[in-house]
Order: sequence, then structure tokens, then C-alpha cells
Amino acid sequence: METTLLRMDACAAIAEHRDAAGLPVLLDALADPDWRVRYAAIVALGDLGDPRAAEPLLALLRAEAREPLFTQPPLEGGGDAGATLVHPVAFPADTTEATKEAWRRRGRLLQAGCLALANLGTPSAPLLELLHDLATDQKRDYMVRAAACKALGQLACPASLPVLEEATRDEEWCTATEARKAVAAITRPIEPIQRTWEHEPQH
Amino acid sequence: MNSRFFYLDDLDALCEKLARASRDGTRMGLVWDSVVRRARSAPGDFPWFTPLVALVGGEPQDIENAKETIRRYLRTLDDQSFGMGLHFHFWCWAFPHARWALYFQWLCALGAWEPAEERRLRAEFLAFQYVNFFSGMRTKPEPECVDNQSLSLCFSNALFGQLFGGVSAIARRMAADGLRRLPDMLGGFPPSGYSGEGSTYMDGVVGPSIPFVVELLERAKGGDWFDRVLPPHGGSAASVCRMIGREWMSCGLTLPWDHYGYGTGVRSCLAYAAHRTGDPFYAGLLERQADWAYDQAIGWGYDDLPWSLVWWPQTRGAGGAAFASWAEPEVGAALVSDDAELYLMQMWDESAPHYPTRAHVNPNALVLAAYGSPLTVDGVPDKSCTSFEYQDTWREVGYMDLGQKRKFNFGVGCAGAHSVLLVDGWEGMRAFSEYPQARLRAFAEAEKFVTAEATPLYRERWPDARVVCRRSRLCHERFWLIEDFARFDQAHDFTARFYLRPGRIPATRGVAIETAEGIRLHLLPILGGDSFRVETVAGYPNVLDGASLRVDFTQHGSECRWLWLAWPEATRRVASDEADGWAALPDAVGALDPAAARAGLATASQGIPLTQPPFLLRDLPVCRRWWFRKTIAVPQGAAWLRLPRRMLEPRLWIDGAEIDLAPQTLGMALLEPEIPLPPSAAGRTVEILLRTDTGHSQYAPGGNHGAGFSGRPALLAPQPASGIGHAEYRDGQVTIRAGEREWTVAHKLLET
Repeated sequence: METTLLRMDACAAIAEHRDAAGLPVLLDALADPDWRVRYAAIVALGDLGDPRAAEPLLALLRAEAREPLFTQPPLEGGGDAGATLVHPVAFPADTTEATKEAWRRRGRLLQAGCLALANLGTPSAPLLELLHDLATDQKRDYMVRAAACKALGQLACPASLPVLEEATRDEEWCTATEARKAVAAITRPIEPIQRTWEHEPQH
Repeated sequence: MNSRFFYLDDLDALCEKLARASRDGTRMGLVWDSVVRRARSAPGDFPWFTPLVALVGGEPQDIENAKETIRRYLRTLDDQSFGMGLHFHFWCWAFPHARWALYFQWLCALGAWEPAEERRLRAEFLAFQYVNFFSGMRTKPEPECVDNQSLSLCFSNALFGQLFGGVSAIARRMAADGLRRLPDMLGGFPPSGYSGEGSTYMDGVVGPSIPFVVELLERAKGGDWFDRVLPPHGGSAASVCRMIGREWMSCGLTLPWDHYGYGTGVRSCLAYAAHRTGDPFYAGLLERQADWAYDQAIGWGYDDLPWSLVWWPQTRGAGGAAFASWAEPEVGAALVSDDAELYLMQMWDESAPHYPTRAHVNPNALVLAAYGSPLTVDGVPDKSCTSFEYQDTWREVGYMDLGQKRKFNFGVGCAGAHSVLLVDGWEGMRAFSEYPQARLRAFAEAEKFVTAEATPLYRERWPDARVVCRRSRLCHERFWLIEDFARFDQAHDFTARFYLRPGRIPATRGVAIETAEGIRLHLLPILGGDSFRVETVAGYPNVLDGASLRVDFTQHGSECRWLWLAWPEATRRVASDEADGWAALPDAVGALDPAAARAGLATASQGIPLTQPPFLLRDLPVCRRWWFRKTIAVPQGAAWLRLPRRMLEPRLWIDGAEIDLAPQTLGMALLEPEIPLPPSAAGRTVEILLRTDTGHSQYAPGGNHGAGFSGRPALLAPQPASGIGHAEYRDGQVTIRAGEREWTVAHKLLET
């Protein structure tokens, strides 16, 4: 993990120093074999805000969106939050390491990609199409749907309104809230939503 | 890497404080000794204690124990990546992850790691945090999301920046967002300090986060972040702490406010409030009321005791907790007798529209407690209970699990599950839009009354509602008067609903109960109809008695009024304190039978208090099963033996005959059980032989998260209870006679 962290830190440092010359490094990192580095690169590209990253980011997102992560079955094991006791997970016999990696990163790259692309501020038709799909796809984790709605709000294209209106009825609160804000951003000044704690079952 | 011990600016002073407390045998010293004892003798079972003991104790083995704890924690992480918890409840993982990282930093500052291992472990902490909890924080809408979940996430990211910002760019990136959002978290809470998530989340997450958040902000940004009132809603850390303290009822439990029901109070937040304010209220709670055998989970970890010790100010002569009446205009009020024996809370905090799963619909709901026992019920039903599955309160969600829908009924959050006024029998009553649902009309701390109105909540469904109001009074430090008043334009069916502890006893008027602890409550309508229906609700709540009485008084008309007399009485008294002088024997493998245990007890440790697990009090083994023996002189007549609460798998023999504890088993999780002694014991000296398991590990199966039993055993004898002889309202005055005494109270009835 040490070398992974070094590469993650390198990505973050480029954005931190607004180092435009570091753009090629970040674009290269989008192909890093470790998805954690890819995640750090996406976040950094969003922070850097260089529109030249839009196309590579979109390509990565489309590839990631094809990962059938929602098919992950519930697995025994894992343990409690904060625990110091290991509860080994029992995987199906044919589980590959690639599948495990996909499970570990459920939705992270898609979320980061949506937010990064919104920061770049270049609402291309393919990007909007992808975000529209993600915003209302109930098979996606809600962190992805919420991020897609947030991104659509930042991009503020009237063509997104039908999708966002649908997303305001999402049963999950974060998604519905981001959708409401996005609709408001496109159509009128934002009205803050104030009550927040009744959106999920108990845990 | 920050070279100081983060949060511990003066480690020498902390060491000195704890050492002196230990030498002086103060409450703080006893708690510290119990923490050290467990961290040293069972570090694998009490991992959350090991870091502070490593720093303060400083023995090489203490440090090694803490290092191994960190290693063990990090070894769990990869397996966590495949569960629904990390992916859909990431905030639960974020808060403990941040504290383990903090403890790792302490050990770094101590120079405890080889450089290579330090780099490796730091990388594991940082990478896991970034991909799981930085992303988690970005899922929560900013600035709208202000709750325990966002607080946990923002804090964890901000702390990582403080701990590792000097060496890691992703740590600085996390801190940028986390630190930016933290002030909005504090300011996003209402001025009352009540987050609306129920007292469990208040006590378990929001309150415990306050010291971490305030101290972090003060280090990162400078200035005072404890008292500062912040936008957007005027919340402050001080007000959250004050509400945490107010959630402690004088009966020893925390309020059953909104979801989850009665509980045991958190301490580290109060210790911090005592440290910051010097208010004796907080120190009194710590010294006199706190249950130190309980290992309270704070923010999904078990380090409440270490942090209590860190913040607890060294004071002498802290008085008893000064429970006082209070009111918060947005949420509720409590009326407390001067001797703290009688407690009433009336709540009107806003419920959430549509799906009131946490902030329940409780317009002017009542909580009553007397003489150490709760008398009313609120909380959560067990899985067998279907009483709250109203037809209009089903919901199905699919966003919190891996590939499956979850159907649940949120009826227990609606009005029908609370001690409130119902109209036209609508038990699923709830709001469907945002608006101020209730308001405080009057409160007087000295006169001990509160009046609040919840008309808007009723008016949403019934536009003809003119007023729906409840006034509660504590009168003569002896009884309560509760008045309900509703006026509508049209005629309706009104139901005054109460959820009481089970144990109905005969009453010529109204309804009366006697709890398992022998506390009686007679609820008598001295104005308004005395027509009522009583139904036992099996499985509600899932604690205490595992059942309740649902009492429905009814009226029909366009106006309804009840004036209730709520008359509490204790029917038992302490005849002798039996807390001390027990023989105690550990049963490491749980193989002893009563005969073998009795033989072993003859030569076992003597003079042990049966107030906490022996290994909290003395240098005795950390062990799950214990046997205790004592001979006790029983008085003539009926008698009860009070034993500690939170005993696990207990068995009791009196003079060799086993006593069935099944009726007390569920309730003893929260209250000290009172066991009726057999008639044959009256007037004799008898042998008490007790076997009990106790919490011995924060994570091992059956370890009860380390929560040990606690209490003060005693023999109890009957105490005469007169009951109500006469009660009436006439010409603006209430007159009550009980036994030889008479009370009069001037009472002006509520109007619109």
C-alpha cells in the first residue's frame, strides 16, 4: 500500500499546487492498475479543472459504468465497524481477484468521475447522456445517483430537467436532495432543504 | 507527521491527574484503575483501552499491546470491504477508523514503531480513508445534511488532515473539505442542541463527537468553538452538551426520545462539558449518576471511558447531580421534583414528514418516572410485535442493501405508538409537509408547569382543529396534574392514549399499575370521561418488561378535555444494604456447579462488593462467569432481594433452592431486578448463592461489548401505600386526599 499511497499523494499534490504541467501525469494515472490511484487521479483532475481531461475522464467513466457491480451478492463475514476481530469473508468459489477489486471500489470511481466532470464545466452530449443514465438507474449505488444529480446541477443544462424531476422522487434522500438542488439551479435560485435526518432505515 | 500527541497537549498533567486520582481513591481513580487493569490483563478483549494506557502507563508491554491492537484493526479492513456496512453505512466505519488513526499517531509520537512499519501502517490508514470516507463525505449533500452521519464523516476527514497533512497530500485534500464543513455541522443543529435523531444517536454519536470536533477546530482554526453560536441555525457545541446532560433522567436512564427507547448515558461528552464549563451539574452526573461498569459505544467504538478520563476535571466535593426542570421551546420540557424522585417530560419536537423513522410523531407525549423506575413506555418493538404495522405506514427501500429490497413498517414512529391525543382513530398520524408542528406556550421552572400546543400537526389532516394543547404540572412535589384540551369545529372521536409499564392493579376509577420494582402509578381522570380500554402490547418495548399496557380513554364531540391526576407511590423500602461483603469466585471455563462453587467460595476472595464485576474493582482475573455468596438476615414478612442490572445468564439459589429468574431476565438489562424471596426465608438468615456472566470483552461473542453488571444489592421490605382516597376538581381547585393527608391545587382550565 505504500507505493499506492505515494502515487495517490502525487496526484493530489498536482492539484494542490495547481500544477498544469502535471496534467499528463494525472491522465496517465487514470490507467493505473490500482483503482485507488485512479480514484485519486479523478479527484485531482476535478480539482485541477482543466477541460482537456474531459474526454479521458468520460472514457474511464463509461468503462467503469459497464462493470456489473450491482450483481454483488451479500457475503458472510466482514465484521463490525471499528472492530479488531477479523471475520474472514466467504467468497463464492469462482471469485476472481478482478471481481474482488470491483466489489471493493463499488461506485467510488463513478462518483468521483461525475463530480470531476462537473467541475470541468464542459457539458457534452455524451457526458449528459451518461449522467442522465446514472442519475436514475436504481441499480446504481446511491452515491453514484446523488453525484450524477449534483453534476447535472453544476452543468445546469435545461435538457436535464426531465431526468432530474424524476430523480427528485428517488426514495433515497441524498439523491432526491441533490436532484432538487439541481432542478433549482437550472430553474430558480436554490432553496435550502433543512430537515435531513429521516431518510434512511435505522442502523 | 505531527509530533505531539494529538488532543493531549499536556500528557504530563494528564498522567499526574490520573495518578493522583488513583492514589486518592476517587471515583476518577477507580475508573482509571479499572481501565488499566483490563488493558493490561486482557488487551485483546479491551482493545479500545490500550492506547491511553500505553501513553499514561508507559510500560513497554502497554505500548506493545497498543501496537498489536492497531495491527489487528488494520488486518480487518480488507474483509470489511465486502460487506454492506462499509458500502451503505460508511459513516459507522469512518468514526472509529479516524480514532484508530489517532491512536496510531499517538504511538508514532511516542516513537513506538520501526520506520518501515510506521510508513506501511500509515499508508493503509490513509488509502482506506480516502477511497471510503472521503467519498462517503462527498455523498452527503452540503450544506443540507446535518446529522450524526455527516458529522462522523466530516470529522474523520478533518482529523486525517490534522494527523497526516504534513506528509500526505490526500490527507490535506480530505481536511480541506472536512474542515470546511465542520462548522456548518455544529451550526446546523438547532439552538436546543437536540439533533432530532433520537436520544440514542444524540448520546451515541452526536454528543461524543463534540469534544473531538471542538478540539480539532480550535487547533486548526483557533478561537473558541465550544460556546460559539454558529450559522445557519444557531447551534453550538455547548448546547449539544447541555442537551446530552438533560437526556439523563433522574431514574438513572436516558430519555426514550424518538427511536430506540430507554438507554444508559454516555459520559465522555459530559466530562468534556465539565472541563469546559465548570458547571457542577456535569461533574455531579459523573460522580453520582454515571454507570461506570457500562462500556458505552460512542461513535461505533468503545473508548468512552478513556476519553471521559482525559476530559474529566479534577474537582473535589462534587455534589449530587442537580437535576433541574428545564424547557426548550423547540423540543420539550422536563419537570423534576426537588429530591429528583419524580420526573416528567413532555415532548413536542418536530417529526419528519412522510417517514418518521427517527424523529417520531410525539405531539406532547409524556415520559413519567418515579422512585427510580420508568412508568411510561416508548421505544422499539421486538420482531414478534405487529401492533404498529398500520396499513398506511409500510415502506419498501432498495438503496441500503446489496441487491435486495427491504420492506419495513414505520408505524412505531407515528402518533399511535406514543402517549398522545389521537383523533378519529388515526394511529398512523404524521406530517406530510414541513411546517412548525408545535410550540411552547408556557413554562415555569419554580412553579413546575409546562404548556405546549401541537395544533398545526393536527390541523394538517383536520383543518377544523382550533387548538390541541397539553399542560403538565408537578404539584406539591408529590403528584402530577396533566390537562388535555382540544377544540375542533366539527365533532370527532378523541382518544387519550397512554403506554404504561405492565402490571395492572385494581382501581375503582381510572387505571393503575404496579411495576416490577413495586412502583405504582394511578392515572385518574378527574375531569373528562373515564371510559377506557386497556390492551397488553406484547413485545413493546423490546426492553424493560417486553410488554406494555396501551390505555385508551375516549370522548366524542367538538371539544374534549381531560384533567388527569397521575399519582405515583413506592411500595418497597430498603431494609438493609447488601452491596458489600460477598465472596467471589471466578469460573474461567464455566464448569462449576453450585456444590463446587460453594466449596470454592469458602476459600475465594472475600469482602468483594457486588456492585461491579470483581475485575473492575480488584486485581482479579478478567473472566466471563462469576459466583458470589453471602448470608443475609431476612426481616419478617415479605421481602425482595435487589441485585445488579446487566447480569447475563444469571442463576440464584437461596438456601440451596433455585429461584426462577426468568421473569426478571429481560428487564435487568436496564433496571436492577428485585427478586421476591420465598416465604420460608422470612425472619431467617439465609445463604445467597449467585452465578452470573458479565461483559468481559468488547468484541468476543458473548462479551456484551465489555459492559459489566452494576448496581447496589439490598434487601427490600414493604412500604405502606395509601392510594388515592379522594380526588376532585371543583370551582377551579383540585382536592386530593391520600391516607391522612389532603392537598389542594388551584387550577385554571386551559382555553383556546
